[in-house]
Amino acid sequence: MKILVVDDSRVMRQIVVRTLRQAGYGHCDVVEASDGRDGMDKLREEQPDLVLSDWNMPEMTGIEFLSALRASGDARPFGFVTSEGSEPMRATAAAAGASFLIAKPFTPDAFRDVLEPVLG
Amino acid sequence: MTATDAFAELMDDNTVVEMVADVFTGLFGEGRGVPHPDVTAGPLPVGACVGVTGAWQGQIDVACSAELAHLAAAELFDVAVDAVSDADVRDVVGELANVVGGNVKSALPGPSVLSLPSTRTPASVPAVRVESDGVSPALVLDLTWSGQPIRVSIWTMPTPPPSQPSSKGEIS
Repeated sequence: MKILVVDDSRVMRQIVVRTLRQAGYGHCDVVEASDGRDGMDKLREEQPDLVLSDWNMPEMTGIEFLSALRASGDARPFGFVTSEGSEPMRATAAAAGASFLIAKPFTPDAFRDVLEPVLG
Repeated sequence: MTATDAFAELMDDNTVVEMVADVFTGLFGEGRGVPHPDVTAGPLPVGACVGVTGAWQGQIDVACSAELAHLAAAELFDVAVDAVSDADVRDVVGELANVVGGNVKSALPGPSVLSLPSTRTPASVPAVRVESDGVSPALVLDLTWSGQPIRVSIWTMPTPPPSQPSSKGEIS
């Protein structure tokens, strides 16, 4: 099982990886990318089973990344980990094809709740 | 009604204190305590600012002492305080502003767009904060975390008339 973590903040990528471990997904391989464009490249190279992406990033935002993925016919699970969890954000994410949205700050339980149905 | 008065009807000090406490607890746990209101600190040399444009317009600025910034970076990167670099500090304070700003934005009228954080440290070029005639501080909170000062400032700007597009139209 491989997870692609996309965030322009190095420390937030580290926190996401640590939280994945605390949530019981320490056995998964993790690949990191620093924005949506880098995420597209890493996705092609690494073929992850799940993408966890920030929303607000330079070069290519998370929603642009997801839209490009879905436009290319790629249906793999994609979830947002972002600083805002308002209903309009969640609706926009769902309409674009996101499986879930985790708002920062988060807990291992929040990861477990949304990852369990996706990764089993 | 001014933009500041309108903001006061949407959000009060306690709401922002709780948001900041939640952000710090979520990121650092409770081992170093929870940020709580304290006396006004002097100039705080490290910080980051995010802007919001759309149905609500303004800026959210998080400033702190260099000691707090290094302590926070050391905690989150899991390194010794003296091993923390300026890049580490900018990454951490930028993310603090991003998360606090995102939480503030989500409690305000939308749709709106959140900018990327603009950071400042003693070793970097200061961020430019818009302070023109149309900008006013709506809220300033002085807090203490782990014995060090942190200040959250929220600035409001007048919302443009509906006929003037203010963003790319995307929600952030």
